[in-house]
Amino acid sequence: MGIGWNGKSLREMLDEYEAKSESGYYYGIEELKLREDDFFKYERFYYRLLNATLEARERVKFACASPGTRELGELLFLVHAPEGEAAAISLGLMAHVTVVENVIKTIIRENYEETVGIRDGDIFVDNDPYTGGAHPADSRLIVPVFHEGELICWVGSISHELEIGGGTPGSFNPFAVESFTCGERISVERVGEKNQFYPWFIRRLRRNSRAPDLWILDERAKLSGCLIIKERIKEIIEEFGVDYFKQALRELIEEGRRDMEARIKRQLVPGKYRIPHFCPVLYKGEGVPPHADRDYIIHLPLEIEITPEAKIIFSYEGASRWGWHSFNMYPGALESALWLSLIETLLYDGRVTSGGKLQTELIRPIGSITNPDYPYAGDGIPWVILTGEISMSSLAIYLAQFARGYIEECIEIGANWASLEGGGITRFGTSFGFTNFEFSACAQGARPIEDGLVAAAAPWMPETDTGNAEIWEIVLNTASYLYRGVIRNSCGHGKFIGGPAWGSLWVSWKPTVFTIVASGSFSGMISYQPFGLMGGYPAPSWSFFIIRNPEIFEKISNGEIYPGIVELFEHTKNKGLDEEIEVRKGFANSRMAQDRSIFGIIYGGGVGYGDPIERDPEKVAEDVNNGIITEEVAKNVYGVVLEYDESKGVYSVNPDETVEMRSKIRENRKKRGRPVKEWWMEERKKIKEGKLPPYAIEMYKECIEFSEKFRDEFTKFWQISEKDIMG
Amino acid sequence: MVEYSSEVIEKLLKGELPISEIQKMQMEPKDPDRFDKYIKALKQHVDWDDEILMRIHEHLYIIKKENNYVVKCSCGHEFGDYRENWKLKALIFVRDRNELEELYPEPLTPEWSELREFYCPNCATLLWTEALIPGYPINFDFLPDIKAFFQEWLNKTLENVPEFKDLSSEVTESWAKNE
Repeated sequence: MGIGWNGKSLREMLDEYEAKSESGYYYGIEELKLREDDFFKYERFYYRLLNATLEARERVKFACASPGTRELGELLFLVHAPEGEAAAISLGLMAHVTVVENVIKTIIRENYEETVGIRDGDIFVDNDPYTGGAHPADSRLIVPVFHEGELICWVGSISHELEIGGGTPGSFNPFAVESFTCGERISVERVGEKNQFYPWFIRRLRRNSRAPDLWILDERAKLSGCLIIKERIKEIIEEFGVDYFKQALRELIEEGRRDMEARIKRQLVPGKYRIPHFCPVLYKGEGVPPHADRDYIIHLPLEIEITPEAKIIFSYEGASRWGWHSFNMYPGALESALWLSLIETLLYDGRVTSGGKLQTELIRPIGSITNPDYPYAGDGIPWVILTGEISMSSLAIYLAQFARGYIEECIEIGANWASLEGGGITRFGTSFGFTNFEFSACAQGARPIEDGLVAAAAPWMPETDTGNAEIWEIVLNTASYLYRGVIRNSCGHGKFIGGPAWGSLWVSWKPTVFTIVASGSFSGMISYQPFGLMGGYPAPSWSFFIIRNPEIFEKISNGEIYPGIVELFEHTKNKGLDEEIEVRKGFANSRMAQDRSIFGIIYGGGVGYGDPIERDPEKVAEDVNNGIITEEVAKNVYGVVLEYDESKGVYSVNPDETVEMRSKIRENRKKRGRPVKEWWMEERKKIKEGKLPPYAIEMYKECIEFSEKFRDEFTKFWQISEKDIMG
Repeated sequence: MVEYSSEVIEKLLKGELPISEIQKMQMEPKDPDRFDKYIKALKQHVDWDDEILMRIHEHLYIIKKENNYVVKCSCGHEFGDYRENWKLKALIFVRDRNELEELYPEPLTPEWSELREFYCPNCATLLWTEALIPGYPINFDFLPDIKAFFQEWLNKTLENVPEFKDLSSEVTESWAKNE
């Protein structure tokens, strides 16, 4: 006899769910009987369940040690049906709605029920992307909930850990080329029973992290939260009865599916949306093994088809092969990212359950970066790409909502982020390691009705304005903030501007050993967005820099240089000290910071909307006065001529010269613009003659060889043969 | 059921609706008749009389002209069949490295992607920018399934709706033949 409902085994329940859901309805549920019979009782049930998850999150958040969890709330609690689908989800890391269910399904498919047994009080933990997570930094803790001997449901939780061991300090391990060096790996393991962790599990965390207290306390807090939810579920069953509980779980999940279907039909337009993009891998000379020591580009063409049946199909046909880098994506990773973009754009005020997933399909070619056919591919930081996927898929939803007329909903979810990680030994001889999560305040794209925000919450972060910078100094340990500010001209220009990038500057202070690792969304070698919106410009991506000469810090201390990022770059340029700054437009591995080294990150900006010369000139003047753009950009890009009033220290618009300037810009466009046909002829010749940049040729060759679909699209567009490119 | 007057939709379109009103709108369920009111409001924005079927861009519309479904700019310029990527009929300008520095600060200037700008041949409005790797085919960002949308989702009758198919490669094929 199984531990599932009515004596079934969990495996039988999972098989039954999969067979019945082929009808298109979750578990074959065509009628929401409880909802129809007594709507208010049904709603009361849902909110009791939801409140249990919210209560757990709010109560235990401050028991966590990691600022990522405590300050930013990267913490999520969920209630799952026995076969794994989620019925209620707290606020928090909603991207991860699918990844906890993947762990449950692994427990079921690998038959833990019979081999090791699943008992009340058991605790399971997993952080292995191969079994469904996004990356090893996300630790998932799951407990079964029993009622009179039946496994009635599961309670799950997830948090992002700031230091998980591995080859480089932090949580991402961006230079790990195989999974073995991506950090400590816990692969669907029972780590405790009778509601207590095994002592050897705690010891394991302590021995495998540079900052173990953060991880241990997070696990303890998540367990406490799950136990709170277990108590609440017992109360709910007492009030509503176990039969009602079971049926209501099913109906809630199906209702989530119906809500998704209705929103697709109401807000979107069927058709095809294409968003190609690219991730540079900058590993050459960065201390990786010889087979990974090169710079190249990963190709990620996303095609979204919204079908007449209101299904959304995400296809990655044409994507590059998996590779010797840390960005490979196992199933849970992409699933969670794409699902997140739908939650943030379509379902943000809806009932989020796993049911909505039935309205989506994900095509991930076997052997590609989206579905490696090698179980040990580096998977430390697929978020380099995944956050891009969230942003790119939100662009498709943007175009659909725009066509549908819901222009107030159009949003490009800013995810143009960069991460500073580091660790070593403090001056007191203790180990430290961290991931600084201030990058969660990403600039957002412009909307058809207003400018994008400067430093808004990132999509995967529920509570991030990161106003409290000092909290990061606790984990940074040997470094202090010198500056945070907006970087001029870093926005996607447009009629409405994208949020400008901002940057942070730190100084290290007497470390014994301190290495810094920088990583982030794609890299500053390419524009983050593959296109601007409606004539707006895409935003540039991020970059990292470090100055090791302590004299520069002395000059800052003496007041000779203002410690702003722009000022620092201007000073070194003007004084011919360019060589003092090492700038990396992308990943930097283990840069050693000495005493009084200065280092910083310039984060990315948001995409612009509309032709810049249609921007209200008064707003352009405001941008210049606020330090968002320079006077030169105002003139050359926006066509706005400004006059400076020295007595007031402000710029104002010269209306007549602005009209003239904008007219000149239009004339100039007609002069410099060529018919696409003419350009196409020239480019085609270049391709045939092998005159594209080597990194481009390498990418095309790889993808043409690997994907029939991409080969056809590429050769048809350029009207060339495969041999023309492959040689 | 949520419903807004045509005046409110027109104000939203013109950017005249206060942010507080927009925020209320965002918090409400979506109004089912929005599409019709949006199309009606859009007619005030253009000087021509063709029937607007869909707005796919700040300045571009899919219109019905006799038995053809074509992309038309707000200035009146027509780009041809909506199933062909309209960018193929635009003017293009690709920025070099120095010209990129006009836009972005140096530490952030992209080096591996090229920035393509597409202008309307008639009014020279900057219609689209794309940042792709050199040699990458011009992207066809959005091809709506007009037939399914009108007939199956809106229950409206449309005559002579062409097959839902990307015809862009036929354009480049004809260019290659005439080379």
